[in-house]
Amino acid sequence: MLNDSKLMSELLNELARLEESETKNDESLLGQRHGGLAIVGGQLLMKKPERGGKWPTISAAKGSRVKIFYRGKQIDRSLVLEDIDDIKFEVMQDPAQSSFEIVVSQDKMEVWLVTKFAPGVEYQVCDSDYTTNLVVTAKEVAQHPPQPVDPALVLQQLESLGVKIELYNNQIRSACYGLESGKWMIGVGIPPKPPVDGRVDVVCDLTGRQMQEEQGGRVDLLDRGKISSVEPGEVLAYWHPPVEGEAGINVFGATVKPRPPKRARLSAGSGVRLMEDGTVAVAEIAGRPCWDRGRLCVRPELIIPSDVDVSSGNIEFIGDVIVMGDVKDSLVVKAGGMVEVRGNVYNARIIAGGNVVIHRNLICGHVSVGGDIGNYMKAITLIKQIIPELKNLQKAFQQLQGHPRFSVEDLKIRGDGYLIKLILEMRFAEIPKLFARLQQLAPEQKDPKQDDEINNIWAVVNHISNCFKGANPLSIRSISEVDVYLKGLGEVCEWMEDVVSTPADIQVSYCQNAQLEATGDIVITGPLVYGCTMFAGADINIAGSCRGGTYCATSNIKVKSAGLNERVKTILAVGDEGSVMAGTLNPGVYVAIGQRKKVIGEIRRNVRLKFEEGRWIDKAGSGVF
Amino acid sequence: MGYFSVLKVMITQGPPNVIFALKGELDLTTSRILRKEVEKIELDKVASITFSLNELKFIDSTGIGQLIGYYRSFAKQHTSVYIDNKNADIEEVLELIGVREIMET
Repeated sequence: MLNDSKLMSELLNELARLEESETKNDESLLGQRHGGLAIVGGQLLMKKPERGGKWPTISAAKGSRVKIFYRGKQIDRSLVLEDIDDIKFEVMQDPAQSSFEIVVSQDKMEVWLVTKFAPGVEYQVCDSDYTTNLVVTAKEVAQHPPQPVDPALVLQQLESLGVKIELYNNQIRSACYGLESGKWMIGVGIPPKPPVDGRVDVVCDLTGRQMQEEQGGRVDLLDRGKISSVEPGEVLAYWHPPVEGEAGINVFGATVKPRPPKRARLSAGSGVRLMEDGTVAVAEIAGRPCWDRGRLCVRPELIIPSDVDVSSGNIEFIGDVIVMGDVKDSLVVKAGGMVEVRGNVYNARIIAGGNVVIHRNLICGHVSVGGDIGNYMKAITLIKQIIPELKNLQKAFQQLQGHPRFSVEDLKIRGDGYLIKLILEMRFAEIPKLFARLQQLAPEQKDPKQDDEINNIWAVVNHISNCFKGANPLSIRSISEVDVYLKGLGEVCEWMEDVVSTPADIQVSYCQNAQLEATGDIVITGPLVYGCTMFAGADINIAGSCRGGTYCATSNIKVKSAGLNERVKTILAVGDEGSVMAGTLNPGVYVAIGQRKKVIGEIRRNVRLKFEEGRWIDKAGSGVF
Repeated sequence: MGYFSVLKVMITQGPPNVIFALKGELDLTTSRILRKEVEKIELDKVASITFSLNELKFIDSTGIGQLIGYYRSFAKQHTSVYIDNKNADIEEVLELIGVREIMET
């Protein structure tokens, strides 16, 4: 600021000199007839004009620090002077500045000292030679440093403002005596301790699915990964309750309350239960965890709003699945619960733990519910044949061990497997064959799409089967290992029986060239079934006709019309206690009840076939069939 | 039995229907004695071989395995192999193992 005014003053002086030199030129032109004004040592001098000459004028340079008074009145334009006695000059001075201000921050937690220091500047009127038009200017002649601020005044003002905190006295002193303008913090309050907001940590996956990369970076576009799901009892989220903050004190000594913490409460929706005083959210049911209007829920069903196709990928979900559209070619829908398809299923695979309902057509697909019932039933039959045979083998071995004419000394070197293999070959040659058939039912490789439990079951089956294949019995060190295998086979059989005995049904409108396996009933509501293979743990009910294919039910088969002619092979098979009911049985239909088989030679109507007391009986007709 | 086992093998009838009479114990340690005797016969002159176990005191799985082995290998050369046994205890062993399922008297 000071420098600016100094510069301005120098510019004005320069301007005045230029005007003066012009005037001199005029004078030189007009001779010495004109009057003139001069300033010498701050005093105004005047030379009156000769006859015919001009009277001199006086004015203050524009923006200069000089004020000119004529007869006590300030003039603001050029004035023609007759006499200088009535003229007075006044030069404006810049006094030195020392001031301060106390500023308190908006939150009243900080107090600041704002100081302003400026040196004083002294000006006086510039001298000038005689000139007709005198422009009066002023120039800087001296500077005076500012005075320091008295700290006592600062403290006094702080007290009068009501500031009651401990002050930074050193800072105040240096600000006061430093003669530098600035803003200095001279005290702070005690800020409140902020609260800890409540928060919810979700520990289950709510993001949906993640595509998994195969070896070599390949991605199976149909395999989008499992849809996130939880089991009952699984922890979904933890709630960390909020912690209140602590109060602080502002610069005026007043209490400053901390902000209230955010609660972020954990709310349970359907399928979720809060435990441990509401701090732990646990799934009550199996399903898909999700947020619903701020509440954590577990939805037991997954609704696919359109088709299951390449855009959706395979569907794998622990609960129920409802497909509003079709299930397209090569896709897999796997559900722990039931599956409902509102449209068609085309050459796709449906695997469900519960019932499956397909509202429209099933073409070339494979539907299995409740488990791989076909294979399980076959495996159960084989295991039930193997177990008594293995027990007989074990018994023979033990009898030989205790036989007075049989030595077992060599087995200490060779191992019990040598004798086991001999007995297997000589007496129980069926056992390795049964194991080979059992092993054929097991998948060759671990199926990544299957549950670990199922994979483990088949791994046990494979391991035990291998032990009795070829030369492998030689590696059995002790007959007690057979006990372990017997126990393992028993558990496998029990597990499969559990699966098979849990009824899960399939209901389809129409099906063609499809494979259906259900632990419960298979119901076809439409007018035709063509070329299908069905295994039902309970009944098969076909409202219309079935032409071609194999239909096996543990209990009963009921069909409006079966077969067409001898060239269309249609097999209807039920268990020993089961029956086959048909409105029409066409020639060539192959009927099996337990181990008894019969081929229909001529068309039969309204029959209910059973096999009782060693003969075929038509319960609906004449009796003997 | 065991390390002190003794087996005597006598050919009581020569070709074409050879009979080996076994006396003592046929087990892991004596099986080589029988093998040496069997190796001596000229198979092209033999129509059948009978092992007589009537005087056998003990047998083990190695002995049984050896007899079954002969049965299988000679069968390929169209030579029949029989077991002649009137010893009830030894017969019980043969039946328990199932030798009688394939080898007749």
